[in-house]
Amino acid sequence: MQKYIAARLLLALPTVILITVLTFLFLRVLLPQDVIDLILREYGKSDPKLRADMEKQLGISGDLSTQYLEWTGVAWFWGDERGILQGDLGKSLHTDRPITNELKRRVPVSLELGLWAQATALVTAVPLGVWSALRQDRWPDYGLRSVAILLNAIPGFWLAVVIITFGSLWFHWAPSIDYKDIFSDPVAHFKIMWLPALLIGLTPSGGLLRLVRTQMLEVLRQDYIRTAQAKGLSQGTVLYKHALRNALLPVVTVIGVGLPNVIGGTVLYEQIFTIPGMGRYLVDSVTRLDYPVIMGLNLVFAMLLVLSVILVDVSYAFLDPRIRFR
Amino acid sequence: MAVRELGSIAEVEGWGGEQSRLNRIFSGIKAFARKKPLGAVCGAVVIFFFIIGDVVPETVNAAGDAAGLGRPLPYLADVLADNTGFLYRYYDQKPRDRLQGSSLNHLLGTDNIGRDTLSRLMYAARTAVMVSFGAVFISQAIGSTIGIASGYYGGIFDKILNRYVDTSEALPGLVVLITIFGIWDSGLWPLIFVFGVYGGPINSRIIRAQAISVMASPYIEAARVVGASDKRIMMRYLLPNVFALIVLSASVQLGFIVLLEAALSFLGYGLDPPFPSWGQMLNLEGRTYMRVQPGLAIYPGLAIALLVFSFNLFGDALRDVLDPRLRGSR
Repeated sequence: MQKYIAARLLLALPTVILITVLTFLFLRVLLPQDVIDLILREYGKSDPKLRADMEKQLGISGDLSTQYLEWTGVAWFWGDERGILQGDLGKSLHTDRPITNELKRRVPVSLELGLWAQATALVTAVPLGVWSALRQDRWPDYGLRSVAILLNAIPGFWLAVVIITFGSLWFHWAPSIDYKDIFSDPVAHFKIMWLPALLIGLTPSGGLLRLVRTQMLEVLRQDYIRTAQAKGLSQGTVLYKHALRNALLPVVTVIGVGLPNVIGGTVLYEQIFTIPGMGRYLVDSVTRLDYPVIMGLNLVFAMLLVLSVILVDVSYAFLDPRIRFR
Repeated sequence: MAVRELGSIAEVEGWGGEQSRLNRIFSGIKAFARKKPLGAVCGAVVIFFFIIGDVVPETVNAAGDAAGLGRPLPYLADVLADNTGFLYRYYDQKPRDRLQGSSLNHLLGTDNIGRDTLSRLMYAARTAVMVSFGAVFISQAIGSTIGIASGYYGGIFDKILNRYVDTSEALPGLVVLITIFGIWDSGLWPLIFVFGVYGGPINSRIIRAQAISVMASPYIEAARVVGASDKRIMMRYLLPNVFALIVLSASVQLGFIVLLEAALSFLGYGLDPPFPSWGQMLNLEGRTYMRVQPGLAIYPGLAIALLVFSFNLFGDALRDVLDPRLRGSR
């Protein structure tokens, strides 16, 4: 197992390096030449010294490879300033404070939202998928499948807008916009988080439900299930110990594939529900052309995604011994 | 004489072949409708949106613009707006009819500056359909090129491409798109190109797998022995064999792109007003005036849901018919 994890991490290394290169090049290419003028105008200043400083800070003075090495912090080893490797993403143009500090507050918020969303998706999809498979081609099955297909098609952010508006019109209820930390005020915290988590989770749960159902149907037809039933095991044991564990294997992969959607979802819903996570930070920074923040956030988002995909892979190997020894 | 006879026979047979091909297509459609009635209905909805969305005129006109030939084709939406009593241009304002409910003049009501909601939904269909079809076309072209090439050449080439695909998959979609359109100007064709290029590598995985399995078949070896070139093997042997897969993954991708475009527009990074898109209508008019005129937010959402729903079900039905191995999955 350790060997597998080590191999998986090693395999991720080129991806991580490529991501830094892509983020760097991509934003460099994206960066119009007059962006500094734009930024300076945004802040209502214009003098050559500030411009030079800014170029230095944005890392667009000097040639491309030096810039890249400075940004990633490889240059630190021969005495340059700290970079990403040293955990320093630079300073925000807007607030002039280290981005890392800001992220320390914001990353847990987004992560928590994403986790709740995944949990919602699993908690709704797995039992309902099993139920749907057990009632194959009867009305619960048809009903659930129709709902699942509908869930795939309905945009969650639209549901959010509709719920917020009609909630306030008919029930005089509105989601709180005053974000509270989970430790200082858990009740208020969950009052804000439950609806976005539910909405982000609902969108992938439709697809998951259908996947669980098909997998379950396939597994239930296997010989070892018949053997288990013939041995006289209880229905529950057969279902949960023999069938479900095997049926859930592909589901784990699908969760890994669906992760970008969850991240996108957090960006959207943090905006709608004014939750101070990374997504809101991104949208705010893009509006302000806060360049170092945009770069750092893209990198952090990508790294989180890589990490969670590795986690999913490892848990997959944990569930299925065949993977480890391939 | 003999030659002329041969020619005429060939002509007749050619004509006959054409006829039977048309017949085959028709009977194929009929069989599809009989086997998958819901899928066929959804296919009809997709075609309806395709026509209402003015895909052909918009593409031809954009190409004409680029080539300096002007915009030769009229838009169906414009024709309808000019010739019916209840449809208008997307920018037609009637300040006196602000925020109205449904009426004979405005079937789905009007927005805050008196523009007809139904007409704007119709024009916005162009954004949704153009972006989804255009982006899917580009991304499938990129995806199948990468997939086939890396399946065919294998070795170090495959490994490098694989790393590239891995990396593209690790880029969080909406985040990258917000970054791009937050810095660059958005627009119909930028949206299409960026969505297409972004989705391309991700598509290639499934095609690569299929290409590798096709590579193992004897006819590829036979083609090699006969001395077919790399290009010929890829174009004439691999491509036709992965084509069903391309169609299938395209049909899955269409709905996804519609939702992605809507989300991006909803955040304000889509098309600039006044030209509408469903997500933008939801964001600008819907959110602000929903309390007064709920339809402004309800209808765009329903339109998105209808189109995505049709794309998905049509794709599912298509998959069931085209690829028996995948039957019943999802």
